[in-house]
Amino acid sequence: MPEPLRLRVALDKPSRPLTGDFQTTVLIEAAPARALRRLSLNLGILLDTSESMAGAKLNHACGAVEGLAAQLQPGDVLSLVDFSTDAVVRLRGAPAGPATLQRVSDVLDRLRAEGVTNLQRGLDTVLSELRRHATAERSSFAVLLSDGYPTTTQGYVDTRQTPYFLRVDREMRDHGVSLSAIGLGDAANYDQAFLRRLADSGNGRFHYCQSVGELVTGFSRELMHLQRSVLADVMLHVRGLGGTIRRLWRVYPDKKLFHAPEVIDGGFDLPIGVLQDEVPQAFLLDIVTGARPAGRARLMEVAASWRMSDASRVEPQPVVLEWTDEAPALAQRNPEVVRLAAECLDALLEEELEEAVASGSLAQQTSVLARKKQLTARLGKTQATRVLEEMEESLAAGEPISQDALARSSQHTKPTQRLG
Amino acid sequence: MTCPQCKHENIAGSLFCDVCGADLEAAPAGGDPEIGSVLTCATCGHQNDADFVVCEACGQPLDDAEPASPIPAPTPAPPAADDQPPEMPPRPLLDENQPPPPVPSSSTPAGQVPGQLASGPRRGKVKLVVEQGLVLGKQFLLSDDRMLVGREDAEGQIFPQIDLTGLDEGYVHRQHAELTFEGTFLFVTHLGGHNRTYVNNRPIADQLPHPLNIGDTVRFGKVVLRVVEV
Repeated sequence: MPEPLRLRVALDKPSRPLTGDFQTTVLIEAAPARALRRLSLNLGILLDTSESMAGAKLNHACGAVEGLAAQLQPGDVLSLVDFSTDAVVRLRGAPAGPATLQRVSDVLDRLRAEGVTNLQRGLDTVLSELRRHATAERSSFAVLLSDGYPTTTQGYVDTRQTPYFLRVDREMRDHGVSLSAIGLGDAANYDQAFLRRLADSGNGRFHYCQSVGELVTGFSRELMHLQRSVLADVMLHVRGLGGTIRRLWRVYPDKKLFHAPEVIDGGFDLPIGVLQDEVPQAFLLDIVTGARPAGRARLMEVAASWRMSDASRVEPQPVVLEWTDEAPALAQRNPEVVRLAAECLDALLEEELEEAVASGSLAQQTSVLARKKQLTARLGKTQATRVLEEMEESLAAGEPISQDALARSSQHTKPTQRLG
Repeated sequence: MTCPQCKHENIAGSLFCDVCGADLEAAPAGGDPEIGSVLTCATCGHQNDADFVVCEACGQPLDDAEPASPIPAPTPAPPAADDQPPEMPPRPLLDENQPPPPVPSSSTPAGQVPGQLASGPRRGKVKLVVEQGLVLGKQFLLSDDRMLVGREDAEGQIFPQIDLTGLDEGYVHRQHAELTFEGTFLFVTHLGGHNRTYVNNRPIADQLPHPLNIGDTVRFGKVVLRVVEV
């Protein structure tokens, strides 16, 4: 029987010079084996029912939730929470089936859009609800739909975003709950960067639906993704680190920048959440090493574990780096790792572009845009390059980059093309 | 490993420049001479991209700045003349086969007093560069006598000069530390929050100024910055 999880490691440069500090980028890929048994879902929908959702938005959102409930499979459970000024649990861990479908329909009929967007209360409610229905055989996910900026109970836009990220990140680390977000409507009316970072913190995905018509597709796509979950609570274990970590990225299937992890006794653990069938997760680790005599030495060891009754650990794999002054060895590059590092830089430039747009400085926007366009074109992303050209035209006309263009650019930047 | 575009000193082995994102392994030879040219700020000396209107370090207009090529090409020496001063030899081009120069040491050089910067502690001539954090390579020019390090809080009317918002998700306090120039010395003072301030990986005491030198690393929350000369 094949291993349920395979690990693969690669270095951007297998060799480094003998002297000085030197940065090496390590690719770590965790891929689930094919045809593993699917995990049941413990799914929580968090629906924004603030005043701005009134009308077609709420109607389509309800339709999308009904459609999602109909696609659940035996063993799955569904919770439904709506939030505005306060948060209310409408459905508590209901098992998939016709009875639940009827209850979902009844609940949705009674929803009214009114009040402010108290997301903090909504998150607390849906996450604690999911915790109640979590079992070893289910993987827990929350899906948030919102069309607005989070506000305080008085209706002021809540500018302190950090507590949201920390809350979601803690839930993912401690209880294995992932959170995905769906942003609805014109990107100018909600903070797409906030929702995307929230989904990043929860190890989930962010979908941007410009029109209500796209909602059903957005929900459906997310559910199909979640229904392919095969390994839960996956954790990477890095040990015997022979250098200093500068940066850590998830680079596949999409990009997320982590804090450099705290290294204790030469190692650290990285929780990566749930793995879906045929969807590996890949990470890039920038490590700075110091001088050594010529020869090969262990840079680190990588292992992985996950939640399962047996065989839930991949044995440590050594990662070896060579210290040399031989020019041919030093000139070697792994094009796959170099390209993935470029993809990460592209994501970083996207964030810089968002900051430049937020600052309102046209000079800054022009400067970042030029660098991003150059890199995006080199990566061969034609659609993304076209969006950037549109931005250039706006700037040439003396107009700032629109939030909508920024959201589309982000949608092109975030995912990474399949490895290998 | 010097970036051909912005002249930032990157750690050897870096694939891309930490500051401007330039591809450090792409061969610049024979390219457009305009590509990679820089504008040196007349106020702080920071080297900006050629298309910048204001200095990215100090915010001053770059109208008076002189464009310069980042790697000056060697020029033929003029005929020797007794009445002309001797010319400096051309700067040697980097040899790709040679090992890169080491990064600045974090220890205080011999003969240097702790807290006293090697090249003279002039405000505006020292910067902090993010070496570990969510945005690697971001720079903060140390241009005031007294600078608060922390996170912006508009409601609490806290606007730090060294604003680490976005570089760290919650581990930096709103009023985390203070950087001060006192005469010819630079100090960092931890303002007392739970998440410590570290200099060269060692926590420093609360409310007690701790000297900083060129090459030292200072950590606020999870963001590590290095003190670098401009």
